[in-house]
Amino acid sequence: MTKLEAKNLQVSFGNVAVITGLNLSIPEGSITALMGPSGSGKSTLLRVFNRLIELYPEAHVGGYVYLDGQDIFEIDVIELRRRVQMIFQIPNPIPNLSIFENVALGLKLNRLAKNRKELYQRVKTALEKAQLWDEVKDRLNAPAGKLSGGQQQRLCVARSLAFEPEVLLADEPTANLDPENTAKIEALLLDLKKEMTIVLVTHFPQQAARISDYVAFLYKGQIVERGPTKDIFTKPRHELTEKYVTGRLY
Amino acid sequence: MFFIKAYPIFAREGFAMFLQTEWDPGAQKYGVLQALVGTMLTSVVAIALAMPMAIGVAVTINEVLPSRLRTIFGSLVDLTATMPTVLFGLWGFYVLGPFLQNAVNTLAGGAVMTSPSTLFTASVLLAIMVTPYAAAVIREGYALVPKAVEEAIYGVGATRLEAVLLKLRYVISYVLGGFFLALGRAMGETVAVAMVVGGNYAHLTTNLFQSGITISSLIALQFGNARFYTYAEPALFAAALLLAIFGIAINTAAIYLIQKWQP
Ligand SMILES: Nc1ncnc2c1ncn2[C@@H]1O[C@H](COP(=O)(O)OP(=O)(O)OP(=O)(O)O)[C@@H](O)[C@H]1O
Ligand SMILES: [Mg+2]
Repeated sequence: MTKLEAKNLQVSFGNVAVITGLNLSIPEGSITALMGPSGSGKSTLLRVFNRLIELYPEAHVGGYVYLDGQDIFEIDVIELRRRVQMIFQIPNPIPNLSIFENVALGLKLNRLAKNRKELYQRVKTALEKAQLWDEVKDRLNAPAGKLSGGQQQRLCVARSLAFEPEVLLADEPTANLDPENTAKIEALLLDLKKEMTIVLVTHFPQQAARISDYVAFLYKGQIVERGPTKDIFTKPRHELTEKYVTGRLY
Repeated sequence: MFFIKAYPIFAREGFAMFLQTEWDPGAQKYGVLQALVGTMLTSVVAIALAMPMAIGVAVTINEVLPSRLRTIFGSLVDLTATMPTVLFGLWGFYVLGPFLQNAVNTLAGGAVMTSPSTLFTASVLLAIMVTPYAAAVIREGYALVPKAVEEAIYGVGATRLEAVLLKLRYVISYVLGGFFLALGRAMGETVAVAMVVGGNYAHLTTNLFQSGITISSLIALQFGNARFYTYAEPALFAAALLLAIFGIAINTAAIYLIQKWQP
């Protein structure tokens, strides 16, 4: 089943075209690694999927994206963002809010918990899933900005998981983490694909090989090649893909 | 300097002048409590009106206007802050005062406001005058909200309004900064207030719709007169001293709170 599908997608910033007629389908319940050189439009693509791109007034989007076959631009944007969550390369908790508030905020704004007890329970579950609970359970009211980078990233994961989203967009989530935190996030993503569809942007072929089911290779705003991870690494059909996975294209 | 100049009145009657409500140098009455209350009332009402306006202006400039117009409108608002206050005073006297009198009396269905120059007129005029100061500080802070934090806020399904409130909370130190700057301005503003406050030296009133007086306008209006009376000058210096102490207290509170809520 296709969970997310982009058709002839185009994005430009001002008059600079960044995504130029991109087609991609993302299978449900899997991890699709999105790879490609810096500036090829990976982050931009993710921001289209949850329409955070609309926070950039200079960005113009054309073409179609479907979530479960429904045009995402017809879905209420707030509902879409609840269903399609995103974690970023640089962890972005809201630093002045407490650890608890960071996870609870979205639930509160969207009235997803009936009462305080349920809210607490959902926050706790999300923090447990993100493997952060044990480290923060005694200081849930401390500002999120006080956590270490790795903890902040897991907090952001918890914030996303609290929504029980259908899609998780992860934009180089381990780029700024040490090996230990990287391993934690990778294990977590593997575990999560049972419950959701994951799009993982990564610059590390090894990471894609370790945890992804599919790889999509993005170059200059278009998908050059997409296929099962093993195929992409062992028998890439496109010269650019081969160059990239063997480290000869940046 | 202020204390030395004020000393004779303290020597004569201690701090009693701060508890008396009548200023009449001819009758040796130097009470300033009515002015103190007037200062408090007008600044509190002015701030209560100014803060929502300032936040509204700051948010509108940052959220609604396209970035090209942002700077232009921002500077325009800043510019009103640099206008001579006497111009505000004239406008307040000839336009705002009569307008408010009319509006209040119509709304109340009776002659509630018997003169165009009242504590209320001063409050509204002050609100208009200090709004640009608060707006400038809030606007500056609001523009500093990092894109990453904005994405976090919208990413969790915030509406536009919720996002605005969360962003204001993120820059709460700037909102507080704007608040205290405006409060300080409102308490100290002299000329414009003196022109529209009514100049009632003799009665304590907490009725906004009556003519009143504030400390700074008392000093401005009575200073020329004061040298004819032995104790009037010291009394005015004592009043000024009080205003200075207030100012310092507000600034100290401001610095403390702003540091505490730094993002
Ligand atoms: N807000 C913006 N305004 C103008 N241009 C932008 C903006 N955001 C991104 N771009 C441009 O769009 C192109 C794609 O950027 P994007 O961040 O999507 O690349 P990326 O594939 O994620 O790169 P990286 O691997 O370095 O993260 C780049 O050339 C970038 O300069
Ligand atoms: Mg990127």
